[in-house]
Amino acid sequence: MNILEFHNVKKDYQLGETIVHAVRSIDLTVRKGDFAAILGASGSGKTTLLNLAGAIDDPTDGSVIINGQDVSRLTDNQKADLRNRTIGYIFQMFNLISVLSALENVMLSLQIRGGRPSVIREEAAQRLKEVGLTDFMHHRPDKLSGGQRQRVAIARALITKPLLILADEPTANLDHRTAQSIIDLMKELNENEGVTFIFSTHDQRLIERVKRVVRIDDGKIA
Amino acid sequence: MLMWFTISLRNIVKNGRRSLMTILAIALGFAAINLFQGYVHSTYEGLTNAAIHGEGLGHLTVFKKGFLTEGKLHPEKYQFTRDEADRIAGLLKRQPGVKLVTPRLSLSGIISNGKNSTIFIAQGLVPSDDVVIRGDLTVFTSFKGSYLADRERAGVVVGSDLAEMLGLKIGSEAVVLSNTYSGMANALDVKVLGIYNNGSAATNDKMLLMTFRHAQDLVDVQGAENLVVLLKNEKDGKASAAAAAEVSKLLAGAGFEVEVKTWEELSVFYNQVKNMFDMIFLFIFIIVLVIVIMSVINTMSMSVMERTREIGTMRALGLKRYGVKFLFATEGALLGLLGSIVGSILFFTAYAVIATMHPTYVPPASSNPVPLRVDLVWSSLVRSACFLGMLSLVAAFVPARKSARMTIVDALGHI
Repeated sequence: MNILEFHNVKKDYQLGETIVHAVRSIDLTVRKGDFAAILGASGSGKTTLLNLAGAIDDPTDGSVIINGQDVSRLTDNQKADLRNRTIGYIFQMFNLISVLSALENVMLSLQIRGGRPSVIREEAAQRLKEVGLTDFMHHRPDKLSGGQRQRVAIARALITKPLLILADEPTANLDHRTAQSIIDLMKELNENEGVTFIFSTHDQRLIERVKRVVRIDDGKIA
Repeated sequence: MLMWFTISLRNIVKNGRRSLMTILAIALGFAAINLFQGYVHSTYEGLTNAAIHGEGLGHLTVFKKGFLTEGKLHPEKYQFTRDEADRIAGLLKRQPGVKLVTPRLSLSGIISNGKNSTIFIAQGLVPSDDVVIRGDLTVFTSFKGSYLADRERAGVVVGSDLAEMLGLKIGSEAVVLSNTYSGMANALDVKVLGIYNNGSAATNDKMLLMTFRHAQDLVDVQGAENLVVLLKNEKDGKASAAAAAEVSKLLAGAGFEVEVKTWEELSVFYNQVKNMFDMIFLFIFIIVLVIVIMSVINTMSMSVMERTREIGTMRALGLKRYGVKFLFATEGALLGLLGSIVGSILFFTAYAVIATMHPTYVPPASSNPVPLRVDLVWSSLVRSACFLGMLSLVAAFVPARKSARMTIVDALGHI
């Protein structure tokens, strides 16, 4: 089953008077259960590709199909719902909400969707347990290490039971040991729960563990 | 809902110093508006009482139609005859809401002590009725001598400045000279029964009170210039307009062509002071409004800028654009609410200080000091809190809209 499809997708940006062709006519398919890395040099279009896959950016041309839905036909609010229900995000800088505890950060996606707070709280606590952070659930991000923050971000991405998790350089700001544990965790989720992962990464440690590598060079798949 | 409230409150606390400045600006505005409102409320109450009772206007005054426009030039044409005055008074006294109806006559002329003379402005009134309207003037500490009696035909009460000017004492004799309505000059001997300060610097050196009969004798008429009506059970004079309409209808139905004016319409001083205070309140209000809006917009703009990436993240997680606006609007409203709470503390502190210290001041056109009072107007406190909360919410919308409009990619890439 195809989770994600790119059909002749292009993305251009206006930078002053210059037009930058970040993504050029890409065709791509991602199947359920994939554990794929998008590999490329800086400025090759990795992050743009990930943004398009996550429906947080719109293609200039072509179509992005997520779980059978053409994103370009959706309204802004429909895209927001699609992101909430279908896609999980793990950011390079973790992007946790600083005034919320680890538990509250994990609860956030479900609270955006709506639901009983007590049920959401229980669910979030369970996710934090799965990533080994039960003892830190009431800590705010500034009281957590980089690895712990990334685990919180992973728990947050998982709580909505998404079809697809997009991770932009998830290990870039982590030391070797922490990065390994994060990679192990994501691999485990992929193998045991069938969660589909797409990474953009330079990290060789991660590249060695993925099932599939998509190389991108100057906006095109090499 | 609770999560958004939690995020908003925690962000306010996180940026403590900045939030405190905004909260204080709102608090000072809240306290200023309510202290002034409380002062104005007590002043209006005092002025209402002063107009109805102090000035002796009563609640309503019945004039012959046209008196207020033509009466000064041709008073003889716009007098109620004795019969008319008696019939109108009788009709009104039978109404359940009417406490008292009394005739009045105003006149002016020259008063002389035999050596010097000056102008006077007099009111001819029925003393026993006037005591009901104005109260017993002799209880005022400035009153010397005795008040008028209904059967008095030559006694007068004069303003203390007028007495001083002419060297009049209790028991002094003087002569009052006035024009009759037929244009003849008339003079009567008078005896000073009482002297007191009427509280108005402008009229205390001209004021003279005499009995209605005495005034009729001086201007040689049988009727009355107007009839003053005092109502029962009227709180703060607010029901006068409705009562005036009812009385007009009643008298018109009985065939009388009259104009019925309320104390509010007749009291020049009340209206001047009220207009002045209303204008001052408007200025204060506008200043507070501008300060609150600017403070909130400034604080929220900085908050939005600092949290742009956070907003991008939340939108990536599925928060809609209106959710972003709602988040910041909640924070704005919370600032308004906290400002109002702190403002209430400031207000009640000032209120307690004033209530304890009992300061006094001499208001314009008065010669006596009066207590500075601030009333506790609960409706004003609630209204101000709601208004400032709403204002802060709306002010937060301006930067919130900008944040909501940003693309997610730009927001996430914001440093």
